[in-house]
Amino acid sequence: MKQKAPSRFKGLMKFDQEAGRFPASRAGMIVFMIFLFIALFAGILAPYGPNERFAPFESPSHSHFLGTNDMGHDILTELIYGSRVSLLVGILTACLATGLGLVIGLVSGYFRGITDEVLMAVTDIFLMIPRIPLVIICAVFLRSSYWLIILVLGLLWWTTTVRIVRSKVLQIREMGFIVSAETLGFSKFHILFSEILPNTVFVIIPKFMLTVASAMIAEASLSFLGLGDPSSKSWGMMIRYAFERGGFIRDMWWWYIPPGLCITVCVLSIVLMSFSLENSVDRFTDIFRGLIPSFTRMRRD
Amino acid sequence: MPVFYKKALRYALTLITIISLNFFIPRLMPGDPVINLAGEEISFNEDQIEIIRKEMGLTKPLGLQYLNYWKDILQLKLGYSYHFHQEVSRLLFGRMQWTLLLVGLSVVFGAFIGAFFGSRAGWRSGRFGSRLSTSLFLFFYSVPPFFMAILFLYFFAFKLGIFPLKGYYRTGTLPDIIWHLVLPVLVLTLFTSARNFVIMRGSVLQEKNRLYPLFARAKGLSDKQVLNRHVFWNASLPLITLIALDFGFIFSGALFIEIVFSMNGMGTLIYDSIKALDYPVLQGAFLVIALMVVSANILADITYSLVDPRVRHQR
Amino acid sequence: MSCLHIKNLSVQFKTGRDTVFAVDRVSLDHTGGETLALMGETGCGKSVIANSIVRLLPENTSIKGEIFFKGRDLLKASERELNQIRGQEIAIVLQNPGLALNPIKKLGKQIAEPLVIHKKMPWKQAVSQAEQMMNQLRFTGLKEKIKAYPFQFSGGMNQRVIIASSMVLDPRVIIADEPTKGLDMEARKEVMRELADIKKRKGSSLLLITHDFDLSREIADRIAIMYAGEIMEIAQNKKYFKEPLHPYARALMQSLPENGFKPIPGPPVAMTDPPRGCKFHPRCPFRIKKCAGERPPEITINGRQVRCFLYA
Repeated sequence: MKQKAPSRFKGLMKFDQEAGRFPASRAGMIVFMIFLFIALFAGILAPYGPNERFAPFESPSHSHFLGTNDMGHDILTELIYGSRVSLLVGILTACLATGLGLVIGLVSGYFRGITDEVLMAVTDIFLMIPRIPLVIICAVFLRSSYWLIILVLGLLWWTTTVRIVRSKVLQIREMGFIVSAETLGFSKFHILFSEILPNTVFVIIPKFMLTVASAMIAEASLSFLGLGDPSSKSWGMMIRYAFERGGFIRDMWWWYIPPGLCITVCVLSIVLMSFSLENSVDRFTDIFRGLIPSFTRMRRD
Repeated sequence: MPVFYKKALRYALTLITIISLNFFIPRLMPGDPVINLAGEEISFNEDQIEIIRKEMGLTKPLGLQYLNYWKDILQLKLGYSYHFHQEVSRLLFGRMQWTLLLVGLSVVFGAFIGAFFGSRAGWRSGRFGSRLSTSLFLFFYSVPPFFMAILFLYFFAFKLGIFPLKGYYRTGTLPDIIWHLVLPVLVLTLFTSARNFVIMRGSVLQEKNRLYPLFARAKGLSDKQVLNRHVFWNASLPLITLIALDFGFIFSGALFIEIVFSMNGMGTLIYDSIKALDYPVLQGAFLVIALMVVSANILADITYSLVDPRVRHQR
Repeated sequence: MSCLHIKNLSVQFKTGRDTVFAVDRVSLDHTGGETLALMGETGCGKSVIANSIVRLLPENTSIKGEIFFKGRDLLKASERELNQIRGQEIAIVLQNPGLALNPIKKLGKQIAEPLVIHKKMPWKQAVSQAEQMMNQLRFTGLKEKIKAYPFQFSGGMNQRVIIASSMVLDPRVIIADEPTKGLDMEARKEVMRELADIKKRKGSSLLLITHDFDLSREIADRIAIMYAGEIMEIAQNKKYFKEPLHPYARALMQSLPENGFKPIPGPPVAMTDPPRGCKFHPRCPFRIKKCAGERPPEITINGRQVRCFLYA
C-alpha cells in the first residue's frame, strides 16, 4: 500500500470524492456549512439586535421580513440567533454522548472479562430508559435549561456509540502492532489511548453526526414543551411561543413554519452527510491515516 | 439455556433499576420531599403538608420507605394527584389506552410501509424511483414529529377543514373515532415508516451482495422473485430488533403528536402536569412508559427467536 | 453434436481505473452427454466463463463473443428467456455451499424451489418430489433433512444439497464451479460420487470447473487447461494425464505433490496487464522469439488442441 503524504487538506478532498458518489451528501455538507456560518456570524447577518422591540404581531413586510412576534421582536432576527442555540445544544449533547460512549467502548472492548460484562449490562439497562420522559422529570424538579437537556441526554445517549466502538476495538486488539506494543511493555492505558483510540475515532464519526441530528430534534421537542430557556430561544422554543401566544390561531404561519423548516433542513443535511460516510467508514480509516503521525506506524496486517 | 437466563436477568435488572430510579429521584432532588412526591399543588397549605408527610411515611427510615415503595408498586399504586384529584394509576391507565391505540396502529402501518418501500429502494438502489423514495423518506425522517403534526394540523384541519382540530372523538361512535384518528396516525406512521425505511434499505443493500440471492437467480428466479421470496425476509430480521430499540423514541413522538392534536391521551396529561408541576403524575408516567419500552423489547426478543431458525435451535 | 458452443468469448471487468482482462477470445465446444473439465489456477478465468454462460456476472462487465445453446446465442437472450433457461436447462452449482444456501429457509424447500418456480408446482408436491430424488441420490435420514436448515450441516452436505437442487429439473447442462473446494476428504468423496452418478444416470452434460486433479481424472471425458484467460490445451482424459503437450500443462503436472511439487518459474500474470503474444511465454522454458509477438493459434494434433508454436 502506497504511503500518502500527510495532508489535512487531502482528507477533506477525499471526503468530497466520497461524497461525490452520493451527490446529495455533498449538498448536505454545503447546507450544513451554511447553517454553521449563520450561527457563527449571527451578529452580522441579523437585521436587528436580538432584544430590539417593535410593534407586536406584525405580518411580513419590507422592514420585517418575517414579521414580529408577541413581544415585538423581529422574527428573522430570532430565527438567525436561534440557530446558535439549536446547533450548540445538538453538538454539545453529541460530544458528551459520543465521548462517553467512546471511553466506555474502549475500556469494555480492550479489557474484556468482568469489566466488559458489567459495562455491557449497564449499557443494556441504559438503552431501555426512556430519554425524553426522564429529561422532563429532571427539568420540572430542577430549573429547566439547555444545560440540563445537554447533560441528561448526553448521559443517556452514549449507548448507541458503545457497541460500535467496542466491536472495532475487539477487531483492532488482535492486530500485530497492538500485540507488539504489549510485548514491548507499554502500559495498557498508554496503548489504549495512543494506539487504539486514533483508529476507532473514525468509526464513530457517522454516529456522532446522527446523534447531533437526533439531539437537535429532541431539544426542539423539549423546548416545544417549554423546557428550554426562554431568554435564549432555540428554534423549538420559537415554535412553542408561536403556539402558546396565539400564533397558530392568528394564522401567523411565518412565525412557526420557518423555525420548523430550519430544524428539518439542518437535520436533513446532517443525515445526508452521514449517509455516504456510513457506507465507507473503512475506506475513511485509510484516507485519514495521513492526518495523524502515529498512523504511519500502523501497517495493514 | 444459559442465554435465556442471561436475558431474563438483564430485563429484571433493568426493571429494578428503573423502578428504583423512580424512588430516588424525588428524594434526591432539591426541595421538600413531600412536595416532590405530591406535587406543587399542596404547597399552599402548611397543615396539609404535614398530614400528607405522615401519610406517605416520609418520616420513616429510608430503607423502610424503599420496601413500602416496592409494595405499592407491585399493587400498581402510583400515588395520588392533588391537581387532578385522582389516583395516578387510574389517571394513567385511563389515558394510556388511547396512546397505545395511536402507537400500535402507527407501528404496524409504519412497519409495512417502511419495509415495503425500503426493500425496493435497497434492491434497485441506482434507479431514479429509489433515489426519489429515499429522499422523500429521509425528509420525513428529519422532520421533528411535533412539527410535522403542526403542519398537518395547519393544512388539513385548519385550512382545508377536512379533519377535526382536536380530541380523539366527539360522539364516541366508531366512524367518528376513526375520523379523528386519521391525522395523528398518519403523522406518526410517516415518522415510524421513515425510520423503518432507512433500516430496511440498509439491510437489503447488505443482503443483496451475499451469495444466496445469486444462487436463487442461478435456479432461474427472476429479479423480483429473488427479492420477494428470499432477500426481503432475510433483510427483515434486523428490523424486529431495531423497532424494539426505537420504541421509546416512537412513544415519545406519539406524546408530542397527541399534544398538538389536543387528544386526551398521555401526551396532554403530561403537558398539563408539567404546567401544574404535578410530580406524581410525571413520575408515574415515566414508570409506565419505561415499562412499556421494556415490554416491547421483551416481545421483540421473543419474536426474533421464533422467527430466526438459527436462534431458535440454540435453545 | 455440440450442446454448448462458446465462440470467441472475451470478458473484461472495470475496477476503478484498471481493466481486468479475465477471459480472452476463448472458444470451446461442449458435446452433449460429455463431462468436460475446465482446469487452471485460481484467477485464470474459468469461473468467469461458467458465470458468463448463465449471465450471472456483475454489472460492470463487458462481454464479447457468442455462446450458442440449442441454436440460440445466450449472450443476446433477454433476461426473461434466461430466467427460463437457468435452473431448468442449464444449472450452475456455485462455490461456497454454506453461503449459497439461504440460512433461514428449510433445505427441502430450497431443493424443491426450481420445481415451484419453473413448473408452477404446489409446494407440497414439489417437496415430496425433491424427497424422491434425494432418495435416489442416496441421501440418508431424509425426514429430518428436509425440515432442517443449512447451518445444521457440514459443507459437504450443503454442497450435495446444492447439487441436488440443480438436478431436480433434469437440465441439459450442469455447470459445477469448484464443487470440492474447501471440503475435507470424506465430503470430497461424497461429492465426487454424486457427480459420477449424474454422468451415468441422466446423460446430461457436465461442465466441471475445478483445480482438483483427482476429481477430473476420475470423472472427466475431456480436459481443457486455462491460463490467464486463454485455453491452452484441450485433450481426452487419459491422453492428457499420460502426456500433456502444452508447456504450461506440463509445468502444472510437475507442480503436483506426487510429481515433486516443482514450482512454475516466474511471477504469476497480472490480469490487468497481460503479456503480449502467448500469455505464458515469460515463464516458458521453450519460448522462442515468435512467442512474444504473436498469439499462437489453436493447433489440432492427434485429436487434441494445443495453443503453442511448438506444435505448429
